[in-house]
Amino acid sequence: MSVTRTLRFVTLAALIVILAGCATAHKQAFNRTANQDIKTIAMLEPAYSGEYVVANLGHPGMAFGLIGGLVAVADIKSKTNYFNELMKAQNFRIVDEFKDSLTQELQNVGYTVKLLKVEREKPKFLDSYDSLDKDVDAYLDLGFGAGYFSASATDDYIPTVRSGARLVRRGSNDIIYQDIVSYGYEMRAVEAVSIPADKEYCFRNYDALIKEPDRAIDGMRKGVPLVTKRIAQDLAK
Amino acid sequence: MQKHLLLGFVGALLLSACATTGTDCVNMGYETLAKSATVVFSTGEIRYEQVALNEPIQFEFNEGTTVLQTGESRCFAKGFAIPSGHVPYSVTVTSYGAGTPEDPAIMYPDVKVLDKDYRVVYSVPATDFVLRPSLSQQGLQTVLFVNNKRDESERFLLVTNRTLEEADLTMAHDTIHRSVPVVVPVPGGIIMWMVPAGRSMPPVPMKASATGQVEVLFQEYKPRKVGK
Repeated sequence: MSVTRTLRFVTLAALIVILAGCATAHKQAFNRTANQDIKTIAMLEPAYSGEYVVANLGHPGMAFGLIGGLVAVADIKSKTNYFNELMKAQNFRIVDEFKDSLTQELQNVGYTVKLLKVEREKPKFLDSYDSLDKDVDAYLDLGFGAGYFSASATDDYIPTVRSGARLVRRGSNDIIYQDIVSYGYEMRAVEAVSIPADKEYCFRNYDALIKEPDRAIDGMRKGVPLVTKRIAQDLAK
Repeated sequence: MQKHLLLGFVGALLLSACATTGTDCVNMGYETLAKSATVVFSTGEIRYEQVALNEPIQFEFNEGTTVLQTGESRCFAKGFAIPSGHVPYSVTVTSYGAGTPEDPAIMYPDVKVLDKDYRVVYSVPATDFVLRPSLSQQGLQTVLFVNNKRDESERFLLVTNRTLEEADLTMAHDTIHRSVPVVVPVPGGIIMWMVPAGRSMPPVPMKASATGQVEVLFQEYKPRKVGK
């Protein structure tokens, strides 16, 4: 693999891991009939980097070897940092809205939901659930990410809200549901469930994005109920 | 060398302009459906194929496919005999997109479980289908479970094409990752870079085609354990 392709892969892989919170793309559909006894779910605090990633995934720097790749990564980081300052100034915490929305959607389909704070060494699914609250039927482990991506220097910045979700049966540790649900920017590598974003929330370039922080927030906010509704629909009895 | 590069670039452009659009797929598909001569009038007359577990079955709805006619209405139909035994199975049905990113089309599957008398016992709701793109193409997918009850109410799987109103069409949005050559003549030759030139298409509805490529996969339901 050439240096340029390596850098692009590393950047993309890091972004996917951070956003999805899971290092594998294992999928397991939920068998409603076999899991009728699951009534109470412990929803774990999502694995989340804490920042909104703003990235041009077709950065021109990637065409110019190692130095160009490093320039691209630095540029992405700088744009991400500034965008996050804007979001902080707006007091916008999308992960809180995601948790509230998912709790409500799961209750709507008949589950009792307990929120559980967990310690994570890395932003990914837990390796073990054995030490967690045992007064539940299953643990819903989550990864979460949000931000804006563009496919190239001449393409729009499109919102992205993405969640990896895994439901683990207490005791047996069976993974009875696992999937990635993605709103907005399409990333095919992980074969996620894909929900398009409205054209209204696409920005011509980075300058247009930071000029309208309210609309940028709306673009991401729009995706939250679409993602949570999909997860709840998958788990509906 | 420069002339060859230019000719190659123009050739690629022309070829892409000849790709079949979603509208063409839909028109050709419904023409094929209307003309098809292999017609049955009940679910009991369909041939139900035996399947093996864990082996994807790929097929196409095309001029050779059985047509199920109910009154004036016709649809392509493909049947499978659900493996016997008393373990639960998952059945993954994936329909693959066609057309172009600007004008996509897809066969929207209607998936039903039938009992031993070929009566419908369960029909997968349209909301259970999700858009799940892979690296090469768009896909509309559902997973259902056959829990193999001893009362023989789950004996056959029937896949047909679904007709949809425009408002119910799934929106697709393609992101095309590609690079374009940038050639700069320099003394003694040229320098060429491949510059990323990807593009995200705005969401467009995927037109409902009668024909298309489908994959069905029967797998024993055996959830993985954490750490395995």
